Amino acid sequence: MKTVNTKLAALFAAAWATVALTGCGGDPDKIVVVGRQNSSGTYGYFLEEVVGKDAHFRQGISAQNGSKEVVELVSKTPGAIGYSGMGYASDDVKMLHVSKKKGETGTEPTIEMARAGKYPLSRPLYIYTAGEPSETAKHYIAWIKSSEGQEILKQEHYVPLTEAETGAVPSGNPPDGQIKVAGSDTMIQVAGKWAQVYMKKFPNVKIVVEGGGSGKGITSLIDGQTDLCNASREMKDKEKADVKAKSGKDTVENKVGMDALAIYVHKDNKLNDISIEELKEIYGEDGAITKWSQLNGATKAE
Amino acid sequence: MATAEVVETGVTVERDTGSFRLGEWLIVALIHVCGISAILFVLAIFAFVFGEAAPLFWGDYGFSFAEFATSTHWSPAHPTSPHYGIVALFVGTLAVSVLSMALAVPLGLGAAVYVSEFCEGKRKETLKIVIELLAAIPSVVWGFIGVMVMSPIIIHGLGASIGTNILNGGVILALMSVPVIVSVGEDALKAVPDSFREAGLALGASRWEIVYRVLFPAAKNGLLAAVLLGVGRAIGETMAVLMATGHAVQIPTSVLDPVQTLTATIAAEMGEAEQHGTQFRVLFLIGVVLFAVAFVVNLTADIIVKGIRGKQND
Repeated sequence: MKTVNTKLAALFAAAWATVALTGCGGDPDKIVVVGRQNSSGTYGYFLEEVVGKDAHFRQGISAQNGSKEVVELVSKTPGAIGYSGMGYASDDVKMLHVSKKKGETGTEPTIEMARAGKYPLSRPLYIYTAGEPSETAKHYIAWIKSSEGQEILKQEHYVPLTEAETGAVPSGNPPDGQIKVAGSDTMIQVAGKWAQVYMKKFPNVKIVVEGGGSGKGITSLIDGQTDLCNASREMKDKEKADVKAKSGKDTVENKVGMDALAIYVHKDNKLNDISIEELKEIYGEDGAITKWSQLNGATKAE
Repeated sequence: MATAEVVETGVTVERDTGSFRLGEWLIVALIHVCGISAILFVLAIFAFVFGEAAPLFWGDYGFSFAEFATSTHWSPAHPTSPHYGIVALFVGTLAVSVLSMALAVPLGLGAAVYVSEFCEGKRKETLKIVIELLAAIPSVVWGFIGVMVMSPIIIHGLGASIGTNILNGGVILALMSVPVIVSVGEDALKAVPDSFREAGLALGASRWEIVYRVLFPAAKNGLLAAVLLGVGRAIGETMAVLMATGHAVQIPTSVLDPVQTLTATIAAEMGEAEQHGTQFRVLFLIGVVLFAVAFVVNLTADIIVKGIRGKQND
């Protein structure tokens, strides 16, 4: 009786393992494509830069609700590829070197490469205000654009402004006040840090930072619910017109740094380089690349 | 002193009768309002949701209902050519809900039968408390369990390429629906008079035969209500499925594929959709669709329950 039980158990275990592996379609060579939700600034940027403005993403891309979530999912999924800000790298993921054309040697996503314009996936970061901001906010923005603010940006793995763009540290103390900041999730890490350091330096200013994405920040700016709007993309003309219509003021744009979008894979992935052309085939609708074996030098992590 | 007291008592008594009538009238009115308020709230919510969605049909939004109802493409924030197809999202909701019910209904009804019929004393009390506790776990925590616990198990145990998928969402939703099914199902079984069980025993039925042939038919309405409440929870749940299903727009070909559900779409995109823009209104239209689904589920339940009652009366 006991042997029959053991045999039955072994039989069931084998049967279930087969069902799990073949019946459910788990394919270790399959590329698990990870992206962002469609209202994120990063989504729009990646679509325009990689897939093409008039093209569409392929179906079945796992859309994450934040930059950090993308890296987290990739770190837990051996067959995954994902795009997210360079500042979100962890020990469990690897950043690929990116080239424009297939076969070219890729460029490492570093501050120097992005600033020099050699890394293909980098973009400016903005702070928008509706009209001229309050004296307090003006002081804050000037401080962000100064060497002190830019040093923090650098520490958080973003790309600081060039020396020509960097301003002087504003002299004197800002007047008492409160500043509301909302917008880009890409920038939330550094925006929080800026606020923290600034408030320590000038305790008479209170800064509240909210994320939610560039789109949400711009909506808040239009509705007058925020003083500063962080955006990882340029505001559209229609959005600027909305600000004008609601508040009667022109939008003021401040470039405060750059962000490089990194291509993340699992740390055990053998792939090191990828091109924008190949990324288009992976992310785009009707793209030809769906398996790791189609990429040069890649073998799937065990 | 004494006179004053008498006067006061008299006045008090007078006032008592008056306030008694007034009080009763008030309470009756209040109960009426409570009764009607449910209808008012439903109508108000429907009017609001439909009102936000309706301009799509006559305004200039570049929206086609035919595309909405038949396309599997959902890319509402595309800069040049957005698509608003609901089919993939609907299939996603359907897939996760069906799987979760396939797991939750046998488990939930089984547990209800066990707690109500096969279990007594301390064990019964402990089980009931623990099951109620299970119902009190917030959905965000379930989502975490899906991402942190279930996902690695699915990847390493089943060899899936991604751990957040239909299976993950289905199991999480099943675990969330089970407590509802157990509590309501157990109440339904408890409501069957003991004379039914005794009659069964007297006829020589085994305990299983009593459950299957006597209790299930007798408690049919209540058990159906239990299952439908579970279905409601599965379709309406947002946070846990947003985290556990992988959130990928596609028609799945296996239970290990990630999907995106209707509720998760609204939750993920509403916050950043341009107010009163096309995407904003289409998300409200999805709300109308969810409303319609809930209505159909409830109506079906009503019709089935009435059908059962009708047969019982024959």
